[in-house]
Amino acid sequence: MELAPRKAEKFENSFQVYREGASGANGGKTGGGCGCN
Amino acid sequence: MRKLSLAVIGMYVGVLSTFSQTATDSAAYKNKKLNFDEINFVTSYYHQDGDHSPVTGGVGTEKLSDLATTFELKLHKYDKKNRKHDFGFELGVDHYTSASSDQIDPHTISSASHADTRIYPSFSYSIHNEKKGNALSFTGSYSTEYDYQSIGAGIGFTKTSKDKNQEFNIKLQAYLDNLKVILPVELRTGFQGNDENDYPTAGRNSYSSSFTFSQLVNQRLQLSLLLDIVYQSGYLSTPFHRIYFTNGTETNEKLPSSRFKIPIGLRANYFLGDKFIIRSYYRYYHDDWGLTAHTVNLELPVKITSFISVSPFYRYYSQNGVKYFAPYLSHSATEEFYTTDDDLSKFNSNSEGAEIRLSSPGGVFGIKHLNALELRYAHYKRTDKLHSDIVTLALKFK
Repeated sequence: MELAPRKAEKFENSFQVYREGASGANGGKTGGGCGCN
Repeated sequence: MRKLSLAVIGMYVGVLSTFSQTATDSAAYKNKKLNFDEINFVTSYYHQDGDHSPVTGGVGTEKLSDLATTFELKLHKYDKKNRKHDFGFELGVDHYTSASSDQIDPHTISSASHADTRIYPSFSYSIHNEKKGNALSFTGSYSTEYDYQSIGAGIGFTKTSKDKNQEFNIKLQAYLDNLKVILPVELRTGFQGNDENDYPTAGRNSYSSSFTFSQLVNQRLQLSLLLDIVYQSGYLSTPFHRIYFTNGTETNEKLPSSRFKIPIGLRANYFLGDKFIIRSYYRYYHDDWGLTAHTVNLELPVKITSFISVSPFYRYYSQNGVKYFAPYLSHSATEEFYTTDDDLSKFNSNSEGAEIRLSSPGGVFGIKHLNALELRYAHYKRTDKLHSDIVTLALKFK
C-alpha cells in the first residue's frame, strides 16, 4: 500500500546520502555499502 | 479503526495504478510457473562542483562527474499453497571522475581514485501469504571498487491488516565493508602506494533496523511513519582527507570509531481529485556526532492525459554540522577528532526539478514492451556554494 519512490529518484537519493550528513527513514540507504566519495 | 469499503480501496488502488505505483496482484488464478514481471533500466549522469574539498584540507575543487546505470529483473511464481514468491536481481555500474581525489597523490597520473568504477550486484527474494497478509523477505548485496568492498544482507517482515488499511514492516540490515587506508602521499611512511596490495585495510560495519507503519486514512489520504535505528562501527573516517592544523602541521581526518543515528520520517500523500497528488515528506535526524538535520520534500504529480504525468518537486534540507568539523586551517592539533569535510558542516540546501512520466499498456512510442518511461532532472545548491545537476532516465519493460 506504500507509494514507493519512483525508479528515477534512485540515484538522486544516493547523492543526497553522499553530500549530506543525514540519511535514512526514506526507504533507502542509511549507511554502509559504498565508499561514498 | 475506520473501515473503508472495497469500492473505496479499489478506487484508491486505481488511482495508484494511474500514477503507476506498486499494486498487489491478487488475481484468482495463480499460475504455478515462474513468470516474468518486469525489467527496469535506470541510467543517470551527475555533475557537481564546489571549492571546499576535504582532500585538500577544506579548500580546492570538488568537481566530480558520475555515470550510473542499473539493470533489474523481476520474476514471480505461486506455490501449491498459493503463496507468491518474488525474485529480484539487479546489477549496477557507476563510473566517476573526481578532480579532488586526483590530489591524493598529485605527482601521479592515476592516483588512487581520480577515476573509478563501482560494480554492485544484488538480489532479493520474498514470499507472500496473501491470505494471512504476511510477507517475509531476504536481500543480499555486494559492491566493489578500487579501494572499497562491501557485503550486505537483510531480512524483512511485513504484516498487512485484514482490511488492508494498515501495514507494518520491519527490516534488519547489515553491511560489512572493507576499505583500503590510502593516505595522502606526503603522509605515507614505508613502502605504500606502488601496488594496490601495499595499502593496509580496515573494516567498517553498519547495522540498521527499519520500521515502517502505513495507514490508509481515507480514500484521499495515506500516511507512513518511518523509523530507522542505525549503528556504525570501525574505520569511519576517510583516510585521504587532509587536515592542516593551526600550528602548521598536517595529518589526515580522524573521526570516532562508532556512530549512532536515528532518523524519523513522515510521509503523507493526498489525492486531490483524479488529476493531482500532493506527495509530502518530512524527516528529523539526529546522531551522536552532534548532527541534527531537517528535510522537507514536496512533489505535485499532475496527470496531463491518461498516459502522461508531470511532477515538479522541491526539497529543503538543513543540518547543523558535526561537532568535529572545522574549516581549512582551523583545527588545533590538541583536538581528539577532526574533519574538514563540508558534507558534515553546517549548511542548508535547496533542490528543485521535475519529472515527466510516459506510460502505455500498448507500449510507449509504439515500442511493444516499453511499459513506462521516466525522465527526471534536479538541480541542487548548498549554502557553501557546492552545486550539482543530475538527469535520470528510467525505462520499464513488461
